[in-house]
Amino acid sequence: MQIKDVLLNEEKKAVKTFLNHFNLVYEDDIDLTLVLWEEDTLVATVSAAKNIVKCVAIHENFQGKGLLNHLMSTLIKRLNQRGHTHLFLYTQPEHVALFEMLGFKKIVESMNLSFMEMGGNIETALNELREAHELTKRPKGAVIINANPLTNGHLHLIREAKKHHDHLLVFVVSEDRSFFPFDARFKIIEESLQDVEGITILPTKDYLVSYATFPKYFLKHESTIKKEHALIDVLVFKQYYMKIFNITDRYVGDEPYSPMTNTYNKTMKQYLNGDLHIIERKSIEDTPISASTVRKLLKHQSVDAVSKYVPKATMRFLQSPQGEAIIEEIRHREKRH
Amino acid sequence: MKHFDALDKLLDALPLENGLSISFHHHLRDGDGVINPVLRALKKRDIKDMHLYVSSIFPSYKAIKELMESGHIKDITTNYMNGPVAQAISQNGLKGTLKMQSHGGRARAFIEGENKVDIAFIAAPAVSRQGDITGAVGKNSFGSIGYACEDARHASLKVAITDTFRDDFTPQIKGELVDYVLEVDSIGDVARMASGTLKITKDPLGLKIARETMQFLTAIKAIKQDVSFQSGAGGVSLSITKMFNDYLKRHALQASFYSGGITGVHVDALEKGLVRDLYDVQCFDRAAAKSLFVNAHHHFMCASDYANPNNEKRIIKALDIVILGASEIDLDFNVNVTTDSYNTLIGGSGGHSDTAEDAKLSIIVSPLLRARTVLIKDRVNTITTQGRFVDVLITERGIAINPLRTDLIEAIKGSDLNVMSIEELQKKAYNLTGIPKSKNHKLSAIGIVENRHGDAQDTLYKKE
Amino acid sequence: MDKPIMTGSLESSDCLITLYETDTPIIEVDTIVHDAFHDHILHLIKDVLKHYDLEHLSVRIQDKGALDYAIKARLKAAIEIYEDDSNG
Repeated sequence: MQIKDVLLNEEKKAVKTFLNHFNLVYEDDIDLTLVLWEEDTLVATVSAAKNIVKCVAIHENFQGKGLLNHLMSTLIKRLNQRGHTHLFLYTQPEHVALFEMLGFKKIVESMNLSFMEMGGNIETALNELREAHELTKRPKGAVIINANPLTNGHLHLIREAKKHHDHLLVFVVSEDRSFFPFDARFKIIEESLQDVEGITILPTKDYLVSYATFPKYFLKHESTIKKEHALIDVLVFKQYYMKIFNITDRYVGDEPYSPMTNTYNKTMKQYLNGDLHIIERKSIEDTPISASTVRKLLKHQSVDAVSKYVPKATMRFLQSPQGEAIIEEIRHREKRH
Repeated sequence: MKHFDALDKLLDALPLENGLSISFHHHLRDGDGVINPVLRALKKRDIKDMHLYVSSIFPSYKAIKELMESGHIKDITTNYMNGPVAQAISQNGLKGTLKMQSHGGRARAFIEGENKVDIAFIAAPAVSRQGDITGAVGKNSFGSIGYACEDARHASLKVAITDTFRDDFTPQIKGELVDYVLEVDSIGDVARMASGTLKITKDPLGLKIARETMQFLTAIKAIKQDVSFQSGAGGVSLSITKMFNDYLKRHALQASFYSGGITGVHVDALEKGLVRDLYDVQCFDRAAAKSLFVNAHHHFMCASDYANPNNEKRIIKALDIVILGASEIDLDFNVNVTTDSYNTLIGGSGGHSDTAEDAKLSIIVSPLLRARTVLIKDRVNTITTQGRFVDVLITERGIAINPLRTDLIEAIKGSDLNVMSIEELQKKAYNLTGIPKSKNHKLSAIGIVENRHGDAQDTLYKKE
Repeated sequence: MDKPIMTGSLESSDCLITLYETDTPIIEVDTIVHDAFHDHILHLIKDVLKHYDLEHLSVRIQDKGALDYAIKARLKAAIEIYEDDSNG
């Protein structure tokens, strides 16, 4: 038996065919795939996209011999070499026991999906975050934003939420998959809110992931995928963030033109009920202000065109050399967020 | 006898009410296509608090879990279970009670009216115009249907469910017993009846245990002309069967019979003339199923003729040697194959306690260490088979003989077998692992283990 | 040390050791024989770290039922890599 990296196209094809037997699809964002060969037979495979383990499968005739443990150990060490020590995995609930054997721990589980991690622990991570910011046990409100980039719409949402709470937590999505890097997004928010008392700005850490990162390889329909993504996100928020930070209410902006955000908000409403408040999006001349509106303007018009939609701190960043480079990128790439 | 061509039409004709008791057999194992649809249809009709009698439960029988959770299944009586259903029961228990029987005990309990079944649903590979049933032919022929015989004789109503009608076979179950026949597209997928574990072991530890077992059998001169032998389908058991065959051949001996669950390795012995007869209560693979149809000396038998303790003609009464496994064994030689050390259900007696009690020599084969867990406990978590019926333990690091068997202790004197007391063997293991810290368990009972005679033998508890 | 050091594997009777630096050292023991040997393994790891005067390092062990010899060997291997790295 021999473990090999999948590098060539024909090897990738073999893996794809193998995964098809298990109704799994090889995902585009995978950047590491290992395969276990027994002579000419593909026995098992594991993959990863950054720190998310994906597309794990083993040949029926070779199950129950600890071969996956062998392969997974190699993958874990390889990912460690790449600096990924905290790993995540999405799987069907019936396979949880298998992945527990491989060292993963369950974070949350829905009817169709389990979200697991290894090399980190959500409770420890969030408790550390809470202690680092010296947060009290008092009840708090919360807003989660990506702010790609921060707009007056976000600020409106934050101000509206703050009206109801002595202490509001503003979580900024840590994951770096947006045009504006996390450090820049975080800094703009800090600058824009520095005069407001009773607000703490925090990173979400690795537990609330974007739809882009969410694996789709074993869920059939796009609508199911969207719903499951929202559901896992909401369950993580409810079972960990709300509990550990003592959050009583969460605020989100409504998004009349985005079916994606609508699905998300609807799912959230189901699980958070009265604890969720949907705030009407701020509009200028009937155009709701959103980060995507701003990005669209940046793509097609001059920087000045966005000035009435964003706070000064965002403007300052856009006019900086780093900001100019990002605007260039937005203009040249069709990447959607 | 009435024919139906749809499950719903059949169910319309059956007297269904809350508290119904129903039975199934497990011969198709993970390839079964009858249990899930029938249970789900009964759930749809909202029949509550049912008592399920199924000879064994395999991982694919997921509907059982669904009906447990929805309150449609209240009690379960079975002989063996593993997979998600077993885990769910271990975790949450049942609304009613779980009863674990042995294969022989189940047959006895049907005959003596302790297992009272309203409707038996029998997956039948082929059915004749008279309603005769066989497992030996048909597109999903799994061979012997031995575990459905008593259901067919003693349930109030008997339904044969089939995907094949033929008239050219010797019935395993007589048509006069069958009340209804349901025709379906498929009763399952026979290709999935053999589990992946059905291979002669390549694991050096397993092979060592197998070789030690053969040396032991030779030392006590147990392998004689006309010897009878039974072993299961685990990797080590199969290796032993293979080595047993080779020994017979080398010494120009012929065994009288092999019994129990039959595999291709057993069939091989029959076809080479190393054994005269196979008595087959269930086929573990398709090679066995084919042989049952082809070979005149490969005999079908019903569970009662195999192991019912009150049946004087039961086959295993004449059994010389049986090879069995263990998840735990204790200093009194009690064996557990029902739960792990944390109360999770992982199996059950099947024929374990039946054959251990009846065979002249019962040998437990198992690794002494599974990772850092030692096989020999001070006390097993669950008693599947009582120590007084267990004669020898053979591990990779030594052999222990039950002190009750002074004759065996005498017989191995002068041999170079690595024999020691079971306490010494345990100590040997602890020298490697360290002494495990024991934990006080909080217990809540979910069911019982019943021995083959119908007495409560041990209690089953929820997983901690 | 710029990256955690990993030795061993998740195969049965083996263990996966991760040796890394943190502000306050922690020893995490995740083992399939938790009830029987958790405390024993924790002490074993502390003893080895103490022996090498490396009590400021953190260790995570994912144990699949390894015997003491195996755990020690895996940990010592990680420590040797660490010391090679520190000296090079």
